[in-house]
Amino acid sequence: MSQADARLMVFRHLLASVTEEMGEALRLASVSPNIKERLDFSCALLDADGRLIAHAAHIPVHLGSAHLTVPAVRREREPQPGEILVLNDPHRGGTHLNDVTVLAPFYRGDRLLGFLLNRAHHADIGGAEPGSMSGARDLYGEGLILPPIRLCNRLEPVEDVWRLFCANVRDPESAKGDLQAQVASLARGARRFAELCSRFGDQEVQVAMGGLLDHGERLTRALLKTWPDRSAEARDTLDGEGSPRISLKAEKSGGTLRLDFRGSSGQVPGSWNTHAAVATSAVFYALQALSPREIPETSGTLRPVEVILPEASVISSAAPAGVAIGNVETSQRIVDVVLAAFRGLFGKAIPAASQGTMNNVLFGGVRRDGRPFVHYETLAGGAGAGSQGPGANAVQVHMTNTRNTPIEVIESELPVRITRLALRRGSGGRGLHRGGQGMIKEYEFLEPARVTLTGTRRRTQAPGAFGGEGGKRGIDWWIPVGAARRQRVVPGETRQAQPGDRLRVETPGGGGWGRARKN
Amino acid sequence: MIRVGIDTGGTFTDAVRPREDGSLQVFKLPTTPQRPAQAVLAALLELAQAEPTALVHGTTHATNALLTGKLGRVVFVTTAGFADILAIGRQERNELYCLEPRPQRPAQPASLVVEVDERLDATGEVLRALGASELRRVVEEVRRRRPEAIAVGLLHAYRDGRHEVLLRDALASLGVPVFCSHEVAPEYREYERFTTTWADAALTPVVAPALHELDQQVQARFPGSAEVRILRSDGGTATAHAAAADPVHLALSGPAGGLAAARTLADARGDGAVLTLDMGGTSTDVALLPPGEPELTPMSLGGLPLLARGLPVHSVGTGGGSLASWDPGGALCVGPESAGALPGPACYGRGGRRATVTDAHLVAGRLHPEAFLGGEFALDAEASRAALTALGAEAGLTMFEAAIAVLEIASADMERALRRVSLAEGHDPRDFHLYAFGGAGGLHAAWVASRLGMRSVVMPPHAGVFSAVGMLAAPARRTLAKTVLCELPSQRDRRELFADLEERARAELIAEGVAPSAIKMRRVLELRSAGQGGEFAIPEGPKLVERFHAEHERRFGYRREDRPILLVAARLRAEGPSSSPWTAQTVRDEAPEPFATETAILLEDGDEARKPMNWYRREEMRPGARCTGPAIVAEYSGTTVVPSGWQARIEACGSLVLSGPGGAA
Repeated sequence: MSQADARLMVFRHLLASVTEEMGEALRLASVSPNIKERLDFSCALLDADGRLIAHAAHIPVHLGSAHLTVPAVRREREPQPGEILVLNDPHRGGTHLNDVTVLAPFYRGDRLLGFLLNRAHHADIGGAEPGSMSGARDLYGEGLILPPIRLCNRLEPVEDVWRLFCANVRDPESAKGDLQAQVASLARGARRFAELCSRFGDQEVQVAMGGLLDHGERLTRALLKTWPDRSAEARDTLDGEGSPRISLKAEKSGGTLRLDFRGSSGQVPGSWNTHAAVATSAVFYALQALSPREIPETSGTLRPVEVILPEASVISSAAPAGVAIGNVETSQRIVDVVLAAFRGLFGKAIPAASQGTMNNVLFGGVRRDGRPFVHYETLAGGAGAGSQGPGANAVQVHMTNTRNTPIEVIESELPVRITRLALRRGSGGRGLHRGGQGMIKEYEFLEPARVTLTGTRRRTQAPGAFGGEGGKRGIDWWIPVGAARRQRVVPGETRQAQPGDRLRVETPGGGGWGRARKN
Repeated sequence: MIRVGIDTGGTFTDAVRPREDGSLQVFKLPTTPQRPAQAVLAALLELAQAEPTALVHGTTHATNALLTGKLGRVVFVTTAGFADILAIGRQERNELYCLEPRPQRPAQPASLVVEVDERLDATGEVLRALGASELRRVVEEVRRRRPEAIAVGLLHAYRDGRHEVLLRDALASLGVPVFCSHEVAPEYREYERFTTTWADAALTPVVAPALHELDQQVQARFPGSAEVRILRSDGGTATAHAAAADPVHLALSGPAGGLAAARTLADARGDGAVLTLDMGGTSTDVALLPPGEPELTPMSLGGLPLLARGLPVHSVGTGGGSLASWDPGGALCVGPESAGALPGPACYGRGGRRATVTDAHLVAGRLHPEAFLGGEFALDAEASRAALTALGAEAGLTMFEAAIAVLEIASADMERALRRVSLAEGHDPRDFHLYAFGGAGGLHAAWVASRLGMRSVVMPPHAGVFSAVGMLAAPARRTLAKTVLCELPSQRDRRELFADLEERARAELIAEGVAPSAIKMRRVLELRSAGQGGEFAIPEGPKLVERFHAEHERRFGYRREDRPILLVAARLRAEGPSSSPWTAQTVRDEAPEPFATETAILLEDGDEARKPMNWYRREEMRPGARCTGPAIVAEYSGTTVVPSGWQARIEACGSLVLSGPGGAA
């Protein structure tokens, strides 16, 4: 501890304030419900090496990926003053194609001080099906791929890039508005960051950024040191073709943690893969959740953690692997595996598994009047029970925390009616503490639409812990208009809805914790 | 008729009454938590004696009931298929990183929810009609559940309340209050509307009897010559009966008093936008009050969204009692832990050993032991020094270095909060004035203001009873809204849209005794660029479209003129006359005598030296009195630091106004 550390929190407040301002600007100016209502975006401030210094996030899955963006971009080009870059290629600094990242270097004179970045989930980015998260065998089929390219030059839009972008997505007007909002957000952040630099001096700001990284590192070490040294293993599978496996050997020693994912399945055809950024996010999340006090979201926090990811694997894939679902589903399973290993390392403080999926609902089409529509949302389910009590019902778990789209908003803006929204009673795993209940949501399509439900824990249960039972598996139904029988939906398949057809999603329950008392 | 403002706080009940010469008579007594009306009545008798009186009362009763869950038994009636909407909420958790999240939702048991077979679509068309036999069945189901109040929330009722009205009329036979979502909060987004309606119903059985009791007791003491009015979250008042009928509008009655006072003072001074900083013991409240009529915003209380709009207040974790400590990563942190009222800061001598923000101020020489609460409360400076010495020793810092770091962190936290409330509305704080109240506000105000680029700080008079002063000024008010969701209609159609709201507001105000000719109407349209996320309020009037685009550009940096403008909601504020509690007094230019000259640390950019500076007593500064920084002005209920280069002056209305270098107050 030193004199400088006495003032670190001053900089933490003020740098966090920069990213909060970027987030407010993005939320207010954005167009699509996925961003404005569900807050599916994040904003980050990075140092000159691209390390994460401050983060305004609503979405943990974005957390561990921001710091991998700049190094990836630099392998291709050095961002120049006045440039604003856009990218979404997961193998070149992005996460999955829907997450469009906009990035600007922050220069003071000719000195690079850092980067500002935001990342927003666009409801559609082209590809085979509306929502861009189904029907692809590889990345090319998932939609428009943007390597790091100039969106603005000398702060003026590069019109050709905007036109190309708009020509490749299903709702270009909304997408353009969202992209404009992303640029406006960076401009706001840059203004505030410049003020801070003028106030404290560039040098002091730079020193403080380094201090915040070191502080994050010390916090993680201190956290790890409160637990005994131990090692543990865990594994789990995904619902996809061939049940891809995630294996983990975890070893905690002193103030360090080693997470070895070798033994996980190789990368698979389709969209189940993740890039290393997403696996890192999952580890980041699990550490944060483990800590009894808030750990600032900086790259320093991860320094004491060695993450070993096998190359060309389902959790660390190489181009041209498809990743659309990996980001939302495989990421959840990585957290499940990390927490399962943590249970071996840290014992009863760790709860049972939560629903372990995001239950992605995607649909789109063209209205009778010719206007296109696209919608994406994720659905809550049961949280795992823990030592403190039953799991929460119908709540977003782990790597996502997006809000639902209100029924009255969906029905006002899209040709869809919600016919049921309810807790899925009895779906939480039994135990001393019961797992959280899943949820039932039923959509009726009023116009022809292409509809996809992508989720996991349809074949496996969210496991219970310490004698608790697993939560009920998710189950999904297609109810054709006028038909007597409903049909099971295979997650990931895209159906053509006729007016009156319904999709009913029953999301998984959380695992129970502790052996249930016998009556 | 005289006016008396009475504010029931957690510890004290404050009462004020204007004297004929414009000064204020102040009376404070301990709150009687079991029977709040008792202290209110005692204060009223002290100040009003036998004169005809209008009592304006602010109460935290509804706030506390919602936070503690001491609520009435409510049956919630909703569209079939959607009984669990209150339990599911917006499906998010409150903390992003938490192994066992506990989402905040209304505490409504599933067994007390009744579904009704009906359905409207998003345009208000009936998809499933609500028949007579279904109405009978629902009434019977509700009756069997023995409610104290009933909340009715149906999908798309903001569009068309017809089914809610059918239910309300049928349920009236049960003899308990019925609340319909299209009347309580006619806005779209079902969870927020239903939660607001539920809260209104759940508060009624606990809040209404207390308000009626107060009213009866006042009427009994002042037969025929007294009126009881209650301050609501929107900064206006309603009669005790009207307030009891819709208690969700009292959820932020407490802070509304201070904000109403700040706004009237700003109007008296001719100030435009104002940021307020109310620093208390455990937290600091900040708010943005734009010029003229502040726009009301949805609120959140205890994690529940409430569409009963109020003046926008935000709390940050740092108050005078916030504890300083080194975290496991070796950084100094201030809060969120607080020493609270007991033991309180180390210098209170009640057994606190750990350093707080207040202790840091004392060590830095920014509090005067003889001037704190007029010297009635002895500060233990030795205890503060010991606490900060111990804190600093952990990292090799001197006591002074530790104190300075604590104060800088606390100020950075406030700066972040003030920025957040400004930016949420798209404003840059540098154009604003900072109004600081609460005991410790003046210790940070000028410092934080200069960091935000603000050049003037106003420390109002009577800051210790500021909420009660606000109650004196608050007009009778009704705030009504209607969600529309259509392309911006013509001015003529908009006039029709407001006509309904105006008629209802006018009738309610006239029933409260407001003269029809005195009613002022303010019409505001909430507009957004089609498809966009944020709507914002534009007052009705000429050049509406141009004003919308200009506001869009101010907020987002670009115009979106190629897209239609969507009218989201029409809002009406109707109010009776208001009276300003601020009276100008004769100003005489004079330089007061300091009561002491002692060293203190100013904490201006990089200047951490202890310097000798003059201490003044505010009570000895008459209007026109001025002093030059560095200086400290102490008063009974607070302390204000005047940095070097700043001027301080008592104005005609009694405010202590600080002007920064190059700034004009």
